[in-house]
Amino acid sequence: MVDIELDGILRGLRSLNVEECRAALEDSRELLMAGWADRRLLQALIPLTEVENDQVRKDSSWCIGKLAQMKIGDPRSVPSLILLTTDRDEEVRSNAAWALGELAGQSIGDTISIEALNILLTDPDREVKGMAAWALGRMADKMRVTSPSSVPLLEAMLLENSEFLRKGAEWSLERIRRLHPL
Amino acid sequence: MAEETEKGPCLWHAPDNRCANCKARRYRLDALGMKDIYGECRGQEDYRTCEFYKLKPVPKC
Repeated sequence: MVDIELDGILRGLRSLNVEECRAALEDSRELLMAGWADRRLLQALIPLTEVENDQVRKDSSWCIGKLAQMKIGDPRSVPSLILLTTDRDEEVRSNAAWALGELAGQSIGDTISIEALNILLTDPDREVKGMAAWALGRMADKMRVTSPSSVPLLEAMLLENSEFLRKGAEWSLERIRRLHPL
Repeated sequence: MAEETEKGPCLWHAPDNRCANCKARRYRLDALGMKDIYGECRGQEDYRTCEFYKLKPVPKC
């Protein structure tokens, strides 16, 4: 059973001490995995996406994605997530793509998100590429927004050796083409 | 053709054979269309193709 001490967690997330902050992020992950979510967590997490420590950015971006999956999203998180798509760490970039795709389920996102995700379609990391393709498909499906510039990039993904990526690109293209039939 | 060597256990493969990676599950459900088994990890069969596969670190003594 999860012992919910939200005030303590929020204090930790706002702490300037990296170790306290990381401990609070671990508690947040545990709560979210147990199916418990609160909007106040999101407000405390957004500033952490700019912290220098890699693990803090990994955990905060994952928590924002998980909250979005649990239908707790905020348009104010979008600029931070877009910035994270250019992060030096591949797990952070993957989390950012995932979160943007989950937010599409609440019609949160914009055309800048699409351009950021397009760039990730050429990412050297295959998990990142897959999540970006999925997120673009989600935006087409849930928000009915897309950009013609995604199409050639996704078509190039159809030639990947990885079946996992080819199927992701197919899924995304199918949704984009529903909006813009050839 | 040489047989593929087995991969070590995945970090996300839970003891109850569930995949503990929320991003991987989402991808499997939506993009791969694995409607009934998106949350299940089939071990080696999935390890070979899953881009979310991450080798579970061996604890140091």
